[in-house]
Order: sequence, then structure tokens, then C-alpha cells
Amino acid sequence: MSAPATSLDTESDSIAARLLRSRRTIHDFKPEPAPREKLLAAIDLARWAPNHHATEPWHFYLLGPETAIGIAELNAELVEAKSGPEAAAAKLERWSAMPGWLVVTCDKSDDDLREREDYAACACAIHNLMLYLWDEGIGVKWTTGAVIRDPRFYDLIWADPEVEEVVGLLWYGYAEEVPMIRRKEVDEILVSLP
Amino acid sequence: MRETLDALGHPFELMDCDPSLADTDVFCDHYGVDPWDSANTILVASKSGPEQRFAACVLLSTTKLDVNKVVRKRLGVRRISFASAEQTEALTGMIIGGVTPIALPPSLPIWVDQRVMQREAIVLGGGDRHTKLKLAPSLFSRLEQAEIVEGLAIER
Repeated sequence: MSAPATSLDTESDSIAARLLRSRRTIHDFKPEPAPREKLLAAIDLARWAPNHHATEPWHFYLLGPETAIGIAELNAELVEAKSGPEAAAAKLERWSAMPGWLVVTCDKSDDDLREREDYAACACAIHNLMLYLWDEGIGVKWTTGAVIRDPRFYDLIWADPEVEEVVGLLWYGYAEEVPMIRRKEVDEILVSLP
Repeated sequence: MRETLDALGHPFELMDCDPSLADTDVFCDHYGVDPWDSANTILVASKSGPEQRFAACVLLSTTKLDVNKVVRKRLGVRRISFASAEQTEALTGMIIGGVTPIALPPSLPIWVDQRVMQREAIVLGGGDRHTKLKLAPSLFSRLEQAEIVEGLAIER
């Protein structure tokens, strides 16, 4: 049986515990952008994520409006091919309203294990970033839709697909609404060994 | 800037601009300038390699830089960024939104998209957000550090 994510939230929770429990993916943002300084501070903290061999494989692309609209239009093109013009127009309108855009990439490697570990490190870095921003009252949505794998996406963000892989497109801003979700109970996911 | 243009004997016209309307799209819309006759100067900076390299790219406002196929190769690096406001000011003495390709430091290469040269006259940044500069693009053929580059930019 699942419980609301906040069901274990107690007054005795540490600051970290409260942050971890309360952070949610934000789908709808207020129009005003979050300060750039907050993003830079979040990136500063993101790079302290656990990282085997200290490869520091992450790169952060802070997008301006010209690049953001280019991505929104590319996404609309992909949506139109799959779902038709009405769906594409709706997506374009929604994406165009996103107040802040950040892309995180990871260095590629010829070593499969290193590439896998580096990807994991980038995911941890993104979580660092999201938690810091959440503590500052700024929400994030981490999206991994088809658009981030399109070669034209790399052209738009000036990234070389031979040396980097996009880990995620992140929208950030002040939440219009914070969704409630449920998580499995610890008993359901825990295996204890002798 | 004015000294450089006077020294070259190249005719030009200075246009006053409300600083809040200096960004190209807004400027063209407000002042009735055809975007095909307006050019942006984009300062790019390398993000990899032993020493940081910069280049000023001049392209029509209706186009965008082809970074992956052209700019990165020309700069000889794997990763490139839009120069920050601080870098732009330190390198050119100008602020973003007002950068002019005229009178840049001699060590800074200027790459001009071929399409720019096909216009009769273009409007460029005037060195600050209060001024725009209108002139014939043939000027770039006479600037020692400028190079005309085919395919530097692609249409949006």
C-alpha cells in the first residue's frame, strides 16, 4: 500500500529530510523567471555530487530565450509528426511559457562502465541542483523527452554529440502548483539479508 | 568607433535608440527596420582547450550561428559558449545588446557571414544600447581582422 509522500513528515525531520520529502516535480510555473544568481549557486552545488574517479563529467547549458524558443519549435515539429498539428500547437504554447531553461549534458566515454557511472553522477548532480533550488522556493521539471535525442537539439545548444550526451532538459521557476504524489512504503522496497 | 570609420573613409549613419528597445527583434519592430537588414554581433568563447579563445561573429538577425558545423571547427575547440556579460565588457568595453564589430581589439577575429555581404546596407550595434550604426557591409572587406565566412550562419 502506498502513502502520500509527506506521510512520514514529522517535526523531528532534519532540514535535509524535509527537503527530500517535500520536493516535487513542478509541471506548471508562474511566468516570472527565477534569478540567474540562484541558478549559478545551484550549479555550484550540483558539482559536489558523488562522482567515481572525480571525472566531473557534467556540463550545464543555461539557455536564453532564443535558444529556448528554438527547442520549443523543434519539439512541436516532433509532436506534429507523431500526434498532429493540434497537439503540436498545444505543446508549443506550453513550452513557450516555461520561464527558465537549463540543459545538463554528460561526457561520453569509450569505456562503458565509466560512461554508466558518469551518467549516474550527472543524475546526482541534477538532484543536488533541484534540492538547492527547492530550498530557495524554486521548482524544477526534469524532462527526457524525444527532443533531447534529436541531432538538431545538439545544434541548438551548441553541444557536440560526439563528445557529450544530453542527460536532461530542466525547466525551473516558481511553482504555480505543487503536486501531491505517493511513494511505496519502505517495507515494499527493502530486502534485508542475514 | 567613429574614428575607425572616419579613418577608413567609409560612409555611415548613426541612429538613436531607446536602450530598452536595443535588442534586435524589438528594435526592428519598433523602428521599422527590416530584420534582413539588421545584423547581430555575437561574441563566442571557447570552453575547452589550454587557453580561452574568442571570436566576434556577425550575422543577419534572421539567421543563427552554425556552431556545430562551422564555428567550433574554426575556433578549434570542442565546447563553445556565448561570452558572458563580464567577458564581453572586459574584452570589448561594450555591453551585450550594444556590441559593434567596429573598433574591436585587433587580436579578436571577426567572422562575417556571407549573407551579410549581400545586403545593400545593414544596421549594427553602435557600441552601446543608445546607438545603432547603419552602413554598407563592404566595410568588412576593408577591416584587417575581418573574414567573410560562407555558412557561418543558417536560416532560423
